[in-house]
Amino acid sequence: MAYSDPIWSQPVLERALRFSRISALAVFFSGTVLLLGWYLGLTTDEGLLASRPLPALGFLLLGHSILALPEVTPQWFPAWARRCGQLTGSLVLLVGVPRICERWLNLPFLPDTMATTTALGLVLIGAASVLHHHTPQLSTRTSQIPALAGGLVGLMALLGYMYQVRVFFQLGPGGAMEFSTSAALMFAAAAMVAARLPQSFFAPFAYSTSSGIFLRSMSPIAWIAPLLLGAVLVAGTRLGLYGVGFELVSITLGCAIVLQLTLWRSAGLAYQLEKETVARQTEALQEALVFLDSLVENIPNMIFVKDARDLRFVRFNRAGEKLLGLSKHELIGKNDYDFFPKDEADFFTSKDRAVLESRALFDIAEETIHTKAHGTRILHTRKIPILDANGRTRYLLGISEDITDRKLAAKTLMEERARMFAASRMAELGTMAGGIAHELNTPLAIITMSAEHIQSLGDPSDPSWKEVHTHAATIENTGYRIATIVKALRTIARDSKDDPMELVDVKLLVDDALSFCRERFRQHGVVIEVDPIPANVALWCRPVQISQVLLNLLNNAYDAVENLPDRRIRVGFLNSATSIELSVTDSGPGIPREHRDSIFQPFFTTKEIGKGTGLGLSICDGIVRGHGGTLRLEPGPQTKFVLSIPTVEEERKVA
Amino acid sequence: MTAHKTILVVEDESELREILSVGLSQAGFKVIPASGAQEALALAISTTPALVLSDIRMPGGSGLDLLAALRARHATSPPVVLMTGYADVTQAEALTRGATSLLQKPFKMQALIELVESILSTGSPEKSRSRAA
Repeated sequence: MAYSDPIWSQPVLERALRFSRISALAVFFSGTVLLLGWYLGLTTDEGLLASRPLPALGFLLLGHSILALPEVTPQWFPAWARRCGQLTGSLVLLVGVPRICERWLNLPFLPDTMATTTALGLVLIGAASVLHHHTPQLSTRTSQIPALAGGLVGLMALLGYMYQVRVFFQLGPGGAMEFSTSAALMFAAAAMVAARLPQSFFAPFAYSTSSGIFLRSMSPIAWIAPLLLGAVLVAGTRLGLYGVGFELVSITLGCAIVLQLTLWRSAGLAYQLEKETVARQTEALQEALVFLDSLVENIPNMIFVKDARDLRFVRFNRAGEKLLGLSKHELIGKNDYDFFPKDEADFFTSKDRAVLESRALFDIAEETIHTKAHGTRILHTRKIPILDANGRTRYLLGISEDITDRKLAAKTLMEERARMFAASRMAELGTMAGGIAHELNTPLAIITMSAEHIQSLGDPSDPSWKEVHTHAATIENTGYRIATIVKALRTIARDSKDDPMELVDVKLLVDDALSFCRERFRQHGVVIEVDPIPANVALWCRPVQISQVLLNLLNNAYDAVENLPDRRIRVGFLNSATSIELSVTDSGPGIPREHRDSIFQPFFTTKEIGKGTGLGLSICDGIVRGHGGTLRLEPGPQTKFVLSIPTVEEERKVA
Repeated sequence: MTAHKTILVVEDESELREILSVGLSQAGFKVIPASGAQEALALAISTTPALVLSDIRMPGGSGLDLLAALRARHATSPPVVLMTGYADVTQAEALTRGATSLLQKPFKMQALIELVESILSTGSPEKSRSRAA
């Protein structure tokens, strides 16, 4: 496990290394001081600080050996000194081993130079240091076992002093271990362990987790409190304040209390940690939720989620609220039937069920909804089933993009294109009509004048005179009728969108339009009935445009009845208070329901190829709307188009 | 009656020129036919007709050219009545250019005769103009 792993508390590891370095230095300097004391002959009472040369040398070497460990080495430590750490460790062994051997082999050389326990401690820690130097970083714990044993020797001596038990600091006939020596041994052992804390038996002390925190905060109490209590009680017994029994009972009770306090504190700490963890997790969760929520809310498309079981809304985003004009509060828990007309809701619900059944994304390129806030909108909707961990459909996610404006723009563009196309055709036709008009008018003048002249010839008493006279009159009248058609053709074929609005007699408008088709209707047996239109009913309009619309409606009507046994077309007139309505009804079979929505769209036609451009009604609709009026298809079995143009405003304008 | 008042009829279509001549002659006018503007201008100078009736669109010179040439010689006389099958010249424009009236083809012979008689009897372009307008 690398030191950078989050399981390690980095501050603890840093502190451990610093402690290790300072402890090693302390050991090194204690050796130096003792050596100096011996040299100067500053020997104090046995047991406290005896400046004897061998232990002094041992600690000097041991301190250096630990300082030379790669983890511990301070930066200022010279390179050569680092390299000989193993050597000094070995020299420690050389200092200690003879003393131990002397004890067992009873060889009285080097008398009274070092306590046997000191030698033991030095040898153990020295061996650990040699092993530390020998083994690479991140090695096993084995090298720490002798160090801990050495530390234990020092601790025992310390306890021996605290409890006044001599055998702990003076083993055998040799001298006693000094108090300072026991401390130095403990520091040396601790420095060894702290140098490689994560690989040591004490690794849990460096954990960043709760176990590490527990260990760090509890261990000092668990050690110090019983040890101090014991020392105090032992001292009391020695002074004769109470007997051994009291001491034992007190120790037992004291330890139990310490144990209980430790557990208590552990519980408190665990509770605190748990609370913090929960708070942290809750905050993180909250943050994640807020993040997701703001994503969903800020998506400019309507997002909704329905429960798969009852298809009720469980989620709606801001774009959805705005589109439907309803707040989340009003939407959540409701279903489509609460907001949309039944047939629309039926449609949505059946689609939803289909999506949930198929378990696949469903793309609805165009669907129409009726909202209270924004009227009819066209949506591009995608519906996605959301499954739970067991693969059951849990939710239905919907994403709807409002494409109304885009559709409208496309429609406007199409209409404009259609209008331009029609206008260019009309302009062409206009030019041609102008040309034909001239070509026809002069011959017509010859025909009519000749026919007129014939009528002034002959003898009225001649039996054939009357017949000749009648036919000549017919020729003349027909010539004038042709002239009228030519004139109307020239007028109607013009691009009239920039014509000025003028007040025109409605009867004249209707007659103008009828002049184009009356003859054709008559020839094909189409009966045309025209409502009587009173004189002096005038309309504020562009007359040519309105005639064009009427003619278009009449032509459509003709196409509808052309091949039927019953061929009738009726031109209706209605003068209401606010508008004038002209209608064209034919006796045909009517427009199929599925086409009713499309008939005003540009390029829509049901006529056979080559007959209709599909522009007529869309252009008519545009013209009528340009007059502030409406062109509509009346519901009913027969086709009845009603052209309605308002009068009120226009009359005011005239006035 | 306007016996022997001379009318110069300018029309490139021979049939129309013929029928106009017959109609006006029957009404008591002396008719001088011309088939083009050039010919008409020469005849107008040589014969000094009481009235000129001219088509507008003709090959080799239009009725408007003829009108301009006549008006260059004299501001008001002879009165000129223009005929057209076109919508390119309006009544007002014709009057501005110095014509007395503009007839839209086809028209009734009877209407032409009445117009001509009215112009010739008043002799005043103003009155006849107001009537024609």
